[in-house]
Amino acid sequence: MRLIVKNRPLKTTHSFEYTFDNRHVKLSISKNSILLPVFDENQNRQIGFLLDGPTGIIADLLVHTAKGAVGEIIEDTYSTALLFPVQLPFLTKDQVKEIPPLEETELYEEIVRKYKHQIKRADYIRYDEKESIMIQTYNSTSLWFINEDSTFMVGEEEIIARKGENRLIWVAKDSFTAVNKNGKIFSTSDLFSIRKARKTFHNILDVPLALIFSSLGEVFTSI
Amino acid sequence: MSKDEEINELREEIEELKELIKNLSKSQSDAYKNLDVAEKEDVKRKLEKDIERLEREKGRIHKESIREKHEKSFSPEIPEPPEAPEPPEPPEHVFFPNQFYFDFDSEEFKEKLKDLKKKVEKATKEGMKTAEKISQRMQKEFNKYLEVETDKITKSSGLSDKEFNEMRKEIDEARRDIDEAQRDVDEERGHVEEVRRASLDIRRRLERAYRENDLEKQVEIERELKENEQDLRNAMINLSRTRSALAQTRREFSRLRRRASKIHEAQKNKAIKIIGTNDFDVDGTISEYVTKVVDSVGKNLETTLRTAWGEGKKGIRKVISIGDSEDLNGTTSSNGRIAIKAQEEFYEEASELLSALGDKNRLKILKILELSPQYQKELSEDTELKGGTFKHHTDILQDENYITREAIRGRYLITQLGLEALKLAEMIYLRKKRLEEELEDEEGIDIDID
Repeated sequence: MRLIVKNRPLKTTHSFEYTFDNRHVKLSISKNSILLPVFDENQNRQIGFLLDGPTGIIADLLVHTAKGAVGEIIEDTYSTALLFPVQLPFLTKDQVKEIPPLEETELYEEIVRKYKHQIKRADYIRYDEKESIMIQTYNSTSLWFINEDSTFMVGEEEIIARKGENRLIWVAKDSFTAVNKNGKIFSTSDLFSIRKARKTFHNILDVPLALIFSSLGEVFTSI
Repeated sequence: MSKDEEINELREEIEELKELIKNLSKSQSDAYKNLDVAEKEDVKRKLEKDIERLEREKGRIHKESIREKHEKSFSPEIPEPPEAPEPPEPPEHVFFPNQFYFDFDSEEFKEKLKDLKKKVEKATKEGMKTAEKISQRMQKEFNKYLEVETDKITKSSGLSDKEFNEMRKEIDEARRDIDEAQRDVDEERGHVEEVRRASLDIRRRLERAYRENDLEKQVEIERELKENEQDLRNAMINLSRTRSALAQTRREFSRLRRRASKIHEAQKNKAIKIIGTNDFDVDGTISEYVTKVVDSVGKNLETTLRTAWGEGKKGIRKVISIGDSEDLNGTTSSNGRIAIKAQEEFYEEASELLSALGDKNRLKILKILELSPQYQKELSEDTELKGGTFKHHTDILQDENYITREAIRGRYLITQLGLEALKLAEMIYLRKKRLEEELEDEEGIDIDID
């Protein structure tokens, strides 16, 4: 997949916050942020936007269990981000306006080109699906996948996923923690259990969500 | 050095490299011209091979990182844009769940658990054996005590079964004596009454004689009266004597009766109620023996556990003292006094942690959150705390990491630490109650065997 940006920019008229349906994640977008449409050149269709401007994400990845709260609140700010799909619920005409084409777009083209390798790993995602929103940060350190009841985040060396009220999975470099529907915790801390975590991973989360990363194996082996 | 300067230096280096490449290609072409035909063909073949290899590896991405970690995926041909913003720092994760849990499903753990089970079974068998020994010993001691006590009773009463039967006969005789004495008393009473009546009659006759002025009659009646008075006195003395005899017999009878009933009870309930070990464990030998056995079993179990975990004392202490506990571990093992002084941090932090628990409202909050996460409104209604007071208590609990709050929905959740603190408080409370109950029970049971 070859990604390109089209010089038909949009600009946010004011800063705003958007809380996702799952009520785990809140996105805050700043005033005067620029949004450029991102296209798949091979198929010649738009798949999302490139957002240039400080973007904040707050995610509640806490789960109540029989042994107390597990997980944490993740709070981060990104300078640029790729947003999928095209029809983002938080982008309406009230919040953005069209502006004249930019004089220079080389910088943005370069940024998008750098995502190429990452996006290739998730070819099968249907970006036109409204339910799921993917946010890829500029420096590729984290990838967010958010839908109606789940939040999924891949950091540099860890994977954290929350589904509904009582399910959480957390795979870090040297540990694995999972909370099931009943609030029961499975927790391990050696590499042996990481191998086991791969098996448990698919059981805990539903298949479409678990299949986001074709290179899941690579993620685990690289840990 | 600023980034611009760094970039300028790199550019200069690139220019130098370009010049070097030019010089190299010139020297190469010169060398090529000087070669023979055969040598030229050889060089050509080598170059073709190189070109093929380059074509093959054209699409390959560098496996070894030549830049910073976050730039791994970047194409190596493209230099970094100077205006690129610095990557944000990775989030600092405070929560390390692996410190609190074991891998319960791992083979290693299962093997350890099997070993532990075997050892615990062994220890239980040993414990059972010792318990049997204890019970046998106790039974013996109890029987001994029973014999001693029965002897004591027989000695104190001074009567055997035969003697008891004899005593019964005595009682019956005493009863008969009492009846006879009673009868005597009644007779004496009747006699006294008769004498009284006779004296009254004599007195009436004497009065009549006085009125009639019959002197002979008067003298005769006076004599009769004197005799009658003597009779009355004698009868009264007899009556009092009989009465005292009756009372004595009665006393004897009741005494005999009491003794008989006591012995009867003692013979009826041969099993004597024993309350507390002091009643029969006079020398304290059994309690000593029991404590020794219990201590040895406890030590056995401890060593078994330590060997089963494979980490000895250190392993167990690690589990107990999670977190910044290096000072605690290091000092306690070497010298007790030094350890006490060196644990200032522990005293300070532990007192803060406990003071956060020292309020009924805060305990109530923890208890409510133990069941499920709560919104502020719900929690405020349940605890009947409002505004500033509510915030004051929740802030204290949050500061000590007993509770946490969601960033988006704002619900309060109890943390693992909070849950453990609540359990600790409940445990102390229940323990105190139990001890009090035990103390009350001990005070209540105080029966005098005699």
